Amino acid sequence: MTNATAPERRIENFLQELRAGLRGVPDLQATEIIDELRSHVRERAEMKGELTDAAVVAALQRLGNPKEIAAMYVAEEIVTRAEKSFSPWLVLKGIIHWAGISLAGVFVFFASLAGYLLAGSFAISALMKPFGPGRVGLWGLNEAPDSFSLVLGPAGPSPAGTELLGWWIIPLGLLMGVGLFLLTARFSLWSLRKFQRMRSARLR
Amino acid sequence: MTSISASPSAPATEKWEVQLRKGCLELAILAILWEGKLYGLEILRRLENNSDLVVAEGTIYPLLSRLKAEGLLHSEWVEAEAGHPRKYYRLTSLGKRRAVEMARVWAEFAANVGDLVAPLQKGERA
Repeated sequence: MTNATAPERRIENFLQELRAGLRGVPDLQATEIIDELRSHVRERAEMKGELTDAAVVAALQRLGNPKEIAAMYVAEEIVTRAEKSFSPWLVLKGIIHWAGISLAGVFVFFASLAGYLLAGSFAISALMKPFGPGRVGLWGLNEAPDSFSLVLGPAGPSPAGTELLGWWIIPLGLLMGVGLFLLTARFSLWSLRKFQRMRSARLR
Repeated sequence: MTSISASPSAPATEKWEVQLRKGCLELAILAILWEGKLYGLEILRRLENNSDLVVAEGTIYPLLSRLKAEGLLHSEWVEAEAGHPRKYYRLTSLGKRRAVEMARVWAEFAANVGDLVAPLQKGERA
C-alpha cells in the first residue's frame, strides 16, 4: 500500500481497526469480512464518481464504529462455537464480554457460573464417594431442634448428623450434575442468543 | 374525561418504535432476498427505499453472517465489472420456508393489531 491515496489509506485504517477487533474469528472468515466491508465502503464512496476523501469519511460514518461491528461478529462467532462444543469456558467467555456492557449480562454471568459450579460439585461428590465412603455424602444436621441444614459433598471429618443418601449419591449426584450442566448451558446460550439478536439488529 | 396529549415523537414512543423495527429487520431481509440474490449494499438500499428500517449500515453484515450461520442464506463472491468483487446472498430452501412462515405470522399479527387499534385512529380524527 505504498502508492495508496489518502482516501484508500483511510479505508485501510478503518479496516485494520476492525480486523484488530475480530479476535477469535478464524483468519479465513476475518479476511472475508474485511473484503466484504472494503467492497461496501468503496462502492458507497464511489457512487458520486471519484473516490474522494470526503466521500470515504461519509461512507465510514454511515457504516458505524469498527470496534462495535467487530464485537458483533465476535459475539456471533462465540455463540456459534459454544453451541457446537457445549464448553462452559466458551460460554462464560461470551457472557463476560456481554457483562462488560450491561447489568443483565452481569446477572447472567453469575447465574451461569453458579450453575456450572453446582453441577461440578454434584458430579465431584458422586465421583469421590468410592474413595472416601465415610467422608462424602449428604448430611442433615440437627443442630437445634427447629433448624435443619444440609451439608453436601466431600467433608473433612464426617459431620455429626444423619447421612441421607449412602451410595445413592453416585447415581443421583451424576444425574443432578449432568442435568444441571445441560440446564445451565441451555440457559446461558439462550440468553447469549437473545442478547446478540438485540445487538445485531440495533438501529441507528 | 380523557385527555390525549399529542406528542407523536415522545421518547417512550420512539423507544418502542425502535424495538418494533428491530423485530422486523430479519423478516425484511428475508423478504428482500425473495426475488433473487443481492449483495449487502443492495439490501441496504432496498431497506432504505421500501421501509423505515434504516439501520446503522455496519450492523447489517454481522446479521447477514448470522442468518448464513443459521442456514437461511447462502453466499458467494462475484467479480464485478468495476473491479471490486461483491458478496451476494440468496435464500436457501430453509430460508425460503422460514420467510414464508414469518410472513404468515406477520400478516396475522398485523391484521389483529390493526383491528385493535382501529378505534384509536378514529378517536384521533375526532
